Amino acid sequence: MSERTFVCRCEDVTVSELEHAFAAGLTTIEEVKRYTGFGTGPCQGKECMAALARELVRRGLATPAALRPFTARPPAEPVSFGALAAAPDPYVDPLPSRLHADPLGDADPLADAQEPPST
Amino acid sequence: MSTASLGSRDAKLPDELDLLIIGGGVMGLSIAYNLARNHPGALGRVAVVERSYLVSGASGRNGGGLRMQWGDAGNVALMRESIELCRHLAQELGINLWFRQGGYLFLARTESGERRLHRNVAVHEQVGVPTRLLAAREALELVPQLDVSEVRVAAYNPEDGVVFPWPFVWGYAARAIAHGVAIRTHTSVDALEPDADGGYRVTLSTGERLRAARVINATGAWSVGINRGLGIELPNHPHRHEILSSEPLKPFLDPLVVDLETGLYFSQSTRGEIVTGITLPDPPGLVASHEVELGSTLRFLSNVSRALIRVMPIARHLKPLRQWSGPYDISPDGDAMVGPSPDHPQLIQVCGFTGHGFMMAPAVGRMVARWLATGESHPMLERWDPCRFRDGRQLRREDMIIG
Amino acid sequence: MSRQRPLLVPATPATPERPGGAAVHLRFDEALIEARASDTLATAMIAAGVLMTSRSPKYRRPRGPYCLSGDCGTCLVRVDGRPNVRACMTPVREGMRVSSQNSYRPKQLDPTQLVDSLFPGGIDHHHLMVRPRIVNQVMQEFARNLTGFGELPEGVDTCSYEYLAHELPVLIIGAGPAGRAAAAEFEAAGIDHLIVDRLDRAQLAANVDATSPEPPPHPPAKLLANTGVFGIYPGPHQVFPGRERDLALVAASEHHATVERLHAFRPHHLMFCVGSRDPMLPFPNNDLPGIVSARGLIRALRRADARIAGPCLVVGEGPWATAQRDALDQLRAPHAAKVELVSPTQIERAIGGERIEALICHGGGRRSCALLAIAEPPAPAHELAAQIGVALRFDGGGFAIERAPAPAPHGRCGELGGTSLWAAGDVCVGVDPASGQAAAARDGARVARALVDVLAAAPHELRDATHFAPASPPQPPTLRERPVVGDRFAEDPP
Ligand SMILES: Cc1cc2nc3c(=O)[nH]c(=O)nc-3n(C[C@H](O)[C@H](O)[C@H](O)COP(=O)(O)OP(=O)(O)OC[C@H]3O[C@@H](n4cnc5c(N)ncnc54)[C@H](O)[C@@H]3O)c2cc1C
Ligand code: FES
Repeated sequence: MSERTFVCRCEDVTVSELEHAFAAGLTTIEEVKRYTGFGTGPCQGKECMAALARELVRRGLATPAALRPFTARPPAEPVSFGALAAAPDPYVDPLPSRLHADPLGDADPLADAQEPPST
Repeated sequence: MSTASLGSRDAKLPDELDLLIIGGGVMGLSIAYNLARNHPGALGRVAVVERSYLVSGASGRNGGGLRMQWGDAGNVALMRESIELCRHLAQELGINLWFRQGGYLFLARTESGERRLHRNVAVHEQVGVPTRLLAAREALELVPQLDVSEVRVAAYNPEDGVVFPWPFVWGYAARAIAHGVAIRTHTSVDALEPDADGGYRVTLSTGERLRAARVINATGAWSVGINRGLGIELPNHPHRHEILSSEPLKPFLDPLVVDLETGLYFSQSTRGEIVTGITLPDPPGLVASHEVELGSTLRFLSNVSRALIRVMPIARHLKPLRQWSGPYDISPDGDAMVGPSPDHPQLIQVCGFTGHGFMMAPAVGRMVARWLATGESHPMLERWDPCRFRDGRQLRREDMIIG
Repeated sequence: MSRQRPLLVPATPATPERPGGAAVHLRFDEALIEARASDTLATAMIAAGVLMTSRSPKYRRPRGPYCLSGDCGTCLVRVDGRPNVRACMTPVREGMRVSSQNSYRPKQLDPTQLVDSLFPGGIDHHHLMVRPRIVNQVMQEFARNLTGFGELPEGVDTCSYEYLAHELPVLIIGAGPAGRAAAAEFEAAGIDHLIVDRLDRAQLAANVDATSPEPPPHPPAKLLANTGVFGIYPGPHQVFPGRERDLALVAASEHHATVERLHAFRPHHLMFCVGSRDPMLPFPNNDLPGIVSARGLIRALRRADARIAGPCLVVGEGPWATAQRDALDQLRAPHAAKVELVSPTQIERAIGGERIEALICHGGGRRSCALLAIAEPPAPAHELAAQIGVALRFDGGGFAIERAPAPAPHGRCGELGGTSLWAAGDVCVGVDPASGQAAAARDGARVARALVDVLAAAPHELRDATHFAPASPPQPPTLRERPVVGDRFAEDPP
């Protein structure tokens, strides 16, 4: 195997690819993301953002105070299109509110939440 | 890539410019590139000033769809030219654009949609675009995952396609710089003041002051701000358009699919993500604003999910990876605004491209550069005249606007 | 494969009292794996020595689970016809069919693995084979086929989807030490609240610091486990009477085997107790399967009630890394080699193929290992707070939430519409994850008390608000059609 040092595993971005981006004058996290694709895979930056930030500071390319993460995009946790399709459109099907729906009284809204059998 | 080939915040700008292009989106950079490459020296000193980084506007946030399937012959011909340019553009710009001609497949589920597609195909035939009408069964052969039970007819042009937008913009920028254009990023044009000789005095956010004989307003959805500063009233306005991409999947989807009835579109990128968006009317009671607003909503997620599952049921088990939004620059008649501004002949508008500026940029850049350098016009330039609203000229209506 | 020496072994044999130890059988590609009921898919695979889950999209290198906490996405596998499932977050079930993704089988003969050696200097995908056009097209088609992880779902069990809206006084995201301590305060003060966490109950129980002198706390009474908050949105601009600014919309997805439930929470107060993540450490070949996060491994071992049986090294420096090493060493089977600490500065590179074999140290020393646990200082999990523009600061490890200074109540970090935002624990500037769970718990309790004080001074309709959710969830909305694209101008304009 070739010797490679990764900063982003999802999109296979290595340190030397970061260096290409730095050389092209890109030293903000947002620009480096767009140029190298880092942080755009399944982890959405959760694993790699801190590693890149530390690298920028270590190389003196950014000061800690000036560093900003790239825009955080939902969804931060997996959710299927199937589940999303169940949400109403608030402008057409207004969310039930305390004002015009029967309050639950003391019923526990979590009561019927299915829990997996405890192991 | 060499240093600063993507523009830089330190790029030097001359005090006197022959042409200042405001906005480093695909429009501004395509014009800069075409001018510098096809008409070297014709315009003297040219510079692009971009407020943020190069793909920060709509050009870095769009779906990358390119189609010839329009309702109006002018647009069909224009897009035929643009796509022809795209076929060789990667080689010309020296950067991978991931242009893939997988076609666009329009699905009609109502009688009115059916009529629309029949009408379109007749127009396309006149222009020489190979769009075909497909029966539901044939659409299913193209995309076996579709639920075509409600589909009455589909239209398919195999030469439409998709690109990855970012390198497109960088490619234009790098080649423009190589041909002598200065590209300054992270700097905004704060004010334009008309000069006695017809040019403009320009103030930048850095405090620099320049003079420009001509100015191009290629700031897309932000163009309203610049125009208002000069008292120019044009009827375009920004609108937030949301979009998402899914978890990466092995290639299964060749065409970009559009559902005419919901305004849903989806395609698969080179990286395997399904890229999808939908026409979402503004919330009732929302006061139209001239400010660009970005941000994401759950409302978009749920609407796009419902529409997607209806057309492609298997999608219910898939997951979105990330959602974002970008600004559409909406023009009331569906046509762009390109040309001298009302009462400001040296301020050239290149805006109002709604949801299709990316695909038109290759052809528009070439046409506008030619017109600037040689004065040669083009039928679309007459049609896109920004003065048409003021002068009350008969507005044409392009009606195949998606999203 | 399954006959390889196991890397993990059960801590205790299965007994009727400990059903977690019962055997469960699953298939991974061609191999049959015997797991324990308490395993996640990831621990079952690691135990069997199967570390590779996929090939990477560009260089086609073997990849396997890293974070073991649901964050990194390198453990994605296909499970019972469903693509891109996180192995580390999936409990095993008898008869599960699991396959690797983005690789050709048999793995040893996968021709695409050549990419890695054909491009030793790296691939600049922007400028690779741009000319001539024909080569470019072949390259693009090749690239298209190598990326993309999962194949489309096939033969997937039907799953039902539900939607539930809530309005409630306090919502806590994260049931780690800070969140649990906060929930205990609200419980004591009688304030209606809810605490959600993406982990399941077994994982949450495993997340208790075994080295802490304090007894493990009870799970919070109002805990919604398996529920990942995925987005926080400004509330729709609907004005309810008496409330000018709408509450934030906190969207979460609750996952179970056959039900996925979408929750839309509207909290008056929202607390971020989301903790920290384990970032990667750059060194050559830091992507080999078998290189895992130390904290993730500790939690995974506790959850699965398993012990390390193969050689394991910890990489890191300082008290944090030492604590991780100690914890891992306690989770070692009696016969296994002692878990030792290696400083990052010693590492020249890792070597291996489908799994790590050894570390090569500067000066030529070779340290064999089957598991390499990375104990880098954690980075705050800032993503959710960042979605809504909460102030963040790079604190050397990652981006942490910057809370409002006094005289603001301790823990306040802004507002979204009518919802007040609070933060506690590892995710905040000034709470050092390395000082252990007790510090985060103290912070969580302190923030909760500040919030209780604010509530006590609030008008009674806010103070006495209770958790409200509609009695019957609404039917899934229908799909509304809009005028056909193209009809906008179909008739003559007025
Ligand atoms: C979500 C989405 C999906 C889309 N999908 C497609 C599609 O599939 N196909 C297609 O063809 N089109 C699509 N579009 C439309 C397309 O993206 C736009 O029409 C096109 O990118 C417009 O390019 P532009 O250069 O005019 O504007 P922009 O890319 O927006 O560039 C304008 C630039 O001007 C800069 N600027 C603004 N003010 C100033 C100032 N005062 N000084 C300096 N700089 C300034 C901005 O920072 C920005 O970079 C989509 C758009 C969106 C939002
Ligand atoms: S997401 Fe499972 S190992 Fe990281």
